[in-house]
Amino acid sequence: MPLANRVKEHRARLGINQQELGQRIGASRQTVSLIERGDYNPSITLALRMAREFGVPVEEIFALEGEDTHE
Amino acid sequence: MNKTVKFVLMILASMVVGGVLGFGVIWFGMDGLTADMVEKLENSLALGVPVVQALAILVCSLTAASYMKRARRFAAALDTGDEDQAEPALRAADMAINLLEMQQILVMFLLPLSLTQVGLSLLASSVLVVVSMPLVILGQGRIVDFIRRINPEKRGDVRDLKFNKEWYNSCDEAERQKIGRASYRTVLATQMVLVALLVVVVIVRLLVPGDNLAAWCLLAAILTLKISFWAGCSRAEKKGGEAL
Repeated sequence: MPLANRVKEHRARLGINQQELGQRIGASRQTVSLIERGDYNPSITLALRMAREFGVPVEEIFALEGEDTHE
Repeated sequence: MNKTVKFVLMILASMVVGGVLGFGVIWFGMDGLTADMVEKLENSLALGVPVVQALAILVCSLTAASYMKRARRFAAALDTGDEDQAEPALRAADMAINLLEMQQILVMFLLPLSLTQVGLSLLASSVLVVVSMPLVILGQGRIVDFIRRINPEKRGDVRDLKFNKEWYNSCDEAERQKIGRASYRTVLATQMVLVALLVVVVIVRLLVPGDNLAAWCLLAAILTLKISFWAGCSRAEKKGGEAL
């Protein structure tokens, strides 16, 4: 099931690069890049870690395609 | 598929099968033809093996070097903050590693063909195998170091026997998923090829007298593949996504 995401937007808000975000959530830079491009859907664990880093609920980062992420 | 295309393909397949069967009949009919043909073929192959090996080393090494040059160019752009250059850099590095592996496989695969001729051909072939191995190991080591520069969380040294395990254990969930998918496809493809080879070997064995070594080797390979796949699946169920 394709997911829409705002990972790049939140990452830019924090002013960190893919490598740094990957280090903080326990993923590789490559995986962060795949998630941002929509080529990989993260596990629940990874999504929750991302939400914790960004300081927002998971629903504000990811949404099923066709539905908007909550603002 | 179009009916005309199907018909044409059927005619071509029939011609090939008919040709092979006809050749087989002649092969059995003429005394000594098999031994004579095999001997001449083996001698020609043995003489050409070192040349092909040298070409394989040259082509694969130079192409791998070219891919690494490209990878370094992308990595240089990555250093200036363009994160989109990381993927092309890694793809180029992957290609370089695969080329070096292909080089070693080709060089080693060709060595047995030169064994029929003891002499300069065999010596040259053996020297090329010995020369190729450290080139490949050194080259792969440098590529892995390059990949680690882009992905610092990666662990493992190519000179270490546990390299594959260390590398896998430093992969995250997305990379493990990719490895899992690729591995499954590999198992299916390898299984298909081994079974097809076994069928060919059995048919040839029925038509041409000889020993059963090839069939036994293929059976051993099929069994190893099946058992290791089942064991791997069972372990994965118990351990989840944990380390190897």
